[in-house]
Amino acid sequence: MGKKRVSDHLSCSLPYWEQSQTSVLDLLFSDVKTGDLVLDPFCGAGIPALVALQQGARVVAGDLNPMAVLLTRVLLQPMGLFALREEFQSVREAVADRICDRYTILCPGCGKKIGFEQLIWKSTEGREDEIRPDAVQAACINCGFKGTERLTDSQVRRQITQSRTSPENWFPRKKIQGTGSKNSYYIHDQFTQRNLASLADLFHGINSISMKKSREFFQSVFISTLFQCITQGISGNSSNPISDAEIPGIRKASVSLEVNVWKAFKDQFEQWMQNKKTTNALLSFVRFSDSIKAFEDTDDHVTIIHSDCLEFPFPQRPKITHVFLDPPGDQAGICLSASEFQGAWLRKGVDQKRFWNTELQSIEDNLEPFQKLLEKIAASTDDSCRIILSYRASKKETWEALQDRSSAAGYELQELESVKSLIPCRKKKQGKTEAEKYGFLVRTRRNNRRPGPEPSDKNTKAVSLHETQFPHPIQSAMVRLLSEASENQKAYNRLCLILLETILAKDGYRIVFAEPNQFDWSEADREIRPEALHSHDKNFPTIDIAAEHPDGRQIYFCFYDPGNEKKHKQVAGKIFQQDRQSFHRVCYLIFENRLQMNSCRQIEWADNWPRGFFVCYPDLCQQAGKIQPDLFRDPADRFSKRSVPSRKQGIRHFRAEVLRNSPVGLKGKPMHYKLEFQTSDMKNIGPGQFVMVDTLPIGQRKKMDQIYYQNAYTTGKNQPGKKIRIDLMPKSYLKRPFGIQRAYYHCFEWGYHHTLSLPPVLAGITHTVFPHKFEIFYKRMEGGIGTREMTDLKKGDQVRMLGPLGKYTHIPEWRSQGISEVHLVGGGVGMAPLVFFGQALKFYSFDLKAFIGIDRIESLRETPYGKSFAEEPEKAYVYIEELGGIGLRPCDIYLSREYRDNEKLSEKIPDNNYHYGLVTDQYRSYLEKIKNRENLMIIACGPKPMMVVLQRIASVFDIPMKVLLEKRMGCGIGVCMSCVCRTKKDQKSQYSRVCVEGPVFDANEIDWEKL
Amino acid sequence: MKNRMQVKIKNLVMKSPLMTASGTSGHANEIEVLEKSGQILAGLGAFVTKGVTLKPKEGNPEFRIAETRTGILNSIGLQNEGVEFFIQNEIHHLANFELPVFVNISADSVEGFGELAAYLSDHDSAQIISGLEINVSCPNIKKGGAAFGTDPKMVEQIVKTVKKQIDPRLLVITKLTPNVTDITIPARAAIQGGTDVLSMINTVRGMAIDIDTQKPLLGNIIGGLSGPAIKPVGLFMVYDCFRSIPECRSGKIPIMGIGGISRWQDVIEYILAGASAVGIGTSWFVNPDVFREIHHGLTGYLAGKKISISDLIGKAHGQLAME
Repeated sequence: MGKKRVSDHLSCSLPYWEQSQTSVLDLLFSDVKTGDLVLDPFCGAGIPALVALQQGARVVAGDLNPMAVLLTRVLLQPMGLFALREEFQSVREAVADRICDRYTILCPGCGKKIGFEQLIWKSTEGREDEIRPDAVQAACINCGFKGTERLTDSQVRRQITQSRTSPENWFPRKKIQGTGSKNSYYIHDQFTQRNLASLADLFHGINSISMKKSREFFQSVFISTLFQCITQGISGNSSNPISDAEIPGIRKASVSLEVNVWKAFKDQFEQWMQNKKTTNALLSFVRFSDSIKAFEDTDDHVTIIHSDCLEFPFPQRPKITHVFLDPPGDQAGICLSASEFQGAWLRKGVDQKRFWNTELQSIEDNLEPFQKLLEKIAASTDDSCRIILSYRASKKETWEALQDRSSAAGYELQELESVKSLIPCRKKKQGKTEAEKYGFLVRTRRNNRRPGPEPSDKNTKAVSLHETQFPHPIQSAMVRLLSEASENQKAYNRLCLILLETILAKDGYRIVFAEPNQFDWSEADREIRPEALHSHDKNFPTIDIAAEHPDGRQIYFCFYDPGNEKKHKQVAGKIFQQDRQSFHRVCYLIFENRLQMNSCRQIEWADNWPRGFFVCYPDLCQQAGKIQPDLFRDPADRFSKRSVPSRKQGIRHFRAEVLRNSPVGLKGKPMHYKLEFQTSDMKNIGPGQFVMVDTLPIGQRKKMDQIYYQNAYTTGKNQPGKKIRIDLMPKSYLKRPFGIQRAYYHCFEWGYHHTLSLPPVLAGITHTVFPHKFEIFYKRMEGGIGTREMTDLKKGDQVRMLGPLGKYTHIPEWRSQGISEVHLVGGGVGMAPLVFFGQALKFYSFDLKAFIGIDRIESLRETPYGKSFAEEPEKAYVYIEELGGIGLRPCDIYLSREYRDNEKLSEKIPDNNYHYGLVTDQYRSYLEKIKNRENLMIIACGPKPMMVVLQRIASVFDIPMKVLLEKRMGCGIGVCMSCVCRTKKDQKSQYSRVCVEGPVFDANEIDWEKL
Repeated sequence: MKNRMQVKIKNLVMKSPLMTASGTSGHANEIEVLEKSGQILAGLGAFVTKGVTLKPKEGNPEFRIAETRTGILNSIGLQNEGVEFFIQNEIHHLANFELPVFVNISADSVEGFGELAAYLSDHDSAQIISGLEINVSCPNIKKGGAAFGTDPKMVEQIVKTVKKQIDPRLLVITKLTPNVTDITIPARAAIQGGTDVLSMINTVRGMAIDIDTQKPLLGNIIGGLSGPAIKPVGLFMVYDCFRSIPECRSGKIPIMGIGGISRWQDVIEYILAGASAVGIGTSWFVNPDVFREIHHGLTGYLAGKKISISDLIGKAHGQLAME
């Protein structure tokens, strides 16, 4: 195979793209009225959802397949180009691990997972042009097994149905040589990863185009084509306005998305390469947001969720009136094709080890899961909810079996007669008439029909929760409130308010205002209704809740409303303007779940939210539960489950731009440097984590390679004597690990920790925007290669990095361990990562003290550089400025120096805090002086002898201690095992990798004797 | 469509000639922490694990790594949790890669190798494995390792023992050390012992001295040099074996070329010299995208020349064949 091409993955089995018989759907949804809520848990490309919307209903749709979700979004919701791009990225990420899994089978030879490769088609005797699918061929890359499996009749029918819609020469067919006598066999290059992979690959291919302009152009073409194909796929004709545009290549896009996208892409690409002038015209065309304006009216009526139906967020807050189900039938593709992803759900519990899982295709074998699904729906909807079942039963027995199962689940299956007239009965060869039935399920009296005891389904827990008698009257009121909150936005807001009140009361805050329109107190119990609320000053008319401290500090809260970002921006801007660096007024946004919150914490959005403080609802529940466990235990448990877990961020290899690289220490040869860079790829880096930094900028390393290879290759026979200067100085090869000294974002100006004093309870669950500027502090090693190269980095250089590496330290947990004060003890450059620790600790309102050990004070003197953070740049000292900036008082900073130099002491810290000698001595004498040594913790980083002594001191005074280790590293991700340190595990000494198990270790874990 | 990258090692079909080199990608799923590990695995044809020994091994003292120009010296000392831990806790992750897996094994006696081979081929979960790479060349352990690799009789004996104990389904790969005068001598010995595949080279012995402490830098004093610095060494050894050993020439014993590959051009060079597959290790630390880049470069080269990898194997010997 040459360069990997999209067409290699193309599939001919594409239920999503088919022209749908919307007339059938119209009938199925005939009793859907304006204002109804339709739930479509397996939405596919969203056509049923569209029909329901056209009937005036509100729709909640979801699918396991991210591609399907995306398509539904494109179909139903207006979407910006940027949002679409983001969506595609996430789809591509999801494809590899979740979706492709569904298209693998187990090799009978070696038992490993393989993808099936080819679909073999067979021609009927004597008629070369009429061919039909016959078998699936699989080849195992591991054991070399090659095998074919005959398709069942239903699969054959299905493939035919699908291929019927495909263009004549969809795939280049290849005749298999020397097979059989009567029948000819053909091979179609068939899917291994199918449509999703192909689309995602294509999009990825576009993304990897290096020229920005052309990349964006193709992204636009791709997306607009996708959109066009979908809309035309539905309407089935060329009445769509887009198709009238003069775009060759994509004008004729009609049926198949893939073919058209690919063709259009290719055509455009070729054309573009020939004549670059067309670009502008095309770009102006593809501003397709105008074209989807038609959908804007429906914007408020749809929610599309990417979700496994098993985890489908039942119960929805609004009342569901209809659920639409299209279980896999034995005949797919004509009306509503069977969704494999639904099949995949139904497959659960079926033996997956069979070579070819025919169960996927037939509902007869999946009756059990079908019933479970119905029960699940029954448990989360009320009696008036109807299930529309679109299933074409070809057998009477199946229909009856469905009836049985439905009644077992508490539903009555009724046939929809009106549809029958629409679809002509087909006759089979045997003469039997095929019965085609569409049904809908009506809830029968559940209590009478439900067999046996209540199933232990987690959804029924909600029911039992109501019936249980709670000892505390408030708690039962809470439960009632909770069940209301799941249906009613105002009740949800009310619950949030109560949670906030509980949390803030601990730190002396009082709720002074609550926007009356946002809450509904009419039915609330007296016990949980807050006291009468003051009126609020009219400066901030859009605030939902305001809390006040006796000392005058105020905290405002807004409920995040995705449709009303403008309002939030206004509030944020106003508060930022008034508040600036005083931090007397802090504003929070309350999010429903963590995923939503994290998407808002992105830098792009945060620009509009200059002082971003965010909390999410599950965190509020948990925190309130911690404070008053008896009151919030059950609700908090239940609601924290509702939150969507955030996706774990993997380690990235990314590029960062150098902002400045300035030497520190004025006289003589500077040894220390401060490197500042910015990147948007290092979200979620936590204290203690580190990055591997390439010491040469990207261009230079490439150039170096080129010189080397030119030299190696071009001094051939025809080019003698071409002189190339080669730099013979040793160059670094590996990346160098560095801890972050500081991470920040421009709206949080330097020093904000001075004045920011969040209530500790709230600080523990507060989030800010993701930072995008970072700083490391490094020492140029005598005779070192890497750090010497690093000193040459200039502003604007791009540097490759790998990160974030190392274990994440979850600092809010320390509070629950009873720690309130942390001492940072750092020797030399070891202090730098501790400053980052300090930044995080201060944010969570820990008390801090810092002990800095250096050789001479001069080496900390900052070079005046442009606009410095310090007020007087010539008197600025590294660490002291930084620690001051994160909110340490001067008396909290201690400094020891080994050499007595003439440098005047910094006036920033009291004279008593200076010490000649080792930092460990100073720290020991400090500990001896203080009386209360409880709730302390030490974090240390520095040279080995310092750490060893410090550990002894900590064990004498019985203070818990964490150490941050620094080692030579090779890979940074734990495969090379070079960065090991001695640790103890079960009294046994062993080597642990600092880059994976560390770099922050508990002092007890380390084997100090052998370190 | 024909996969130009496809190569065949004995009966095993690999979708690409690229492999990880032993010791640089962990025992199993360590590399999955990378966000783009999927792309790395997509470019691979086979996965070679880090060395496994019979008993847990704690490895060499610090320091274990030193940088050189375009290379690194390492002396890890085969740190691993032992074969039992490997079978129980790590091997099942490898199934997710959907790649042929070669397990690198190491021992300090001939019997040890036999025992290890028997253990790995008997075990059920070892079904995932496609072959064993016998490490008779590690320079960083005191007993065994390179001491075995330089002694042709020993090599022959070890390969014979492993071959006797092993499940016949599994390939036996012998990884040779470059720390010999003539690589063809141990190579012939391994073939005599019955190896299916030869892989070369392991790291080259070297050392580094810290001028401040005035002592050797590495805890183990001796380290193994890897990285682009050793590419010419490895390349010639592959070339030499292909040229001088008829079995290699005829394709009966394929060669896996390892050593200093950092660009796709290096891969082509190795293939032209006679390698059927190549292992990439050290450059992966420097550039986690290297597998993707090399795969991309290779497919471009092959498509441009309209040839496939298997046509290129040993092509640099074209003129010699005429002699």
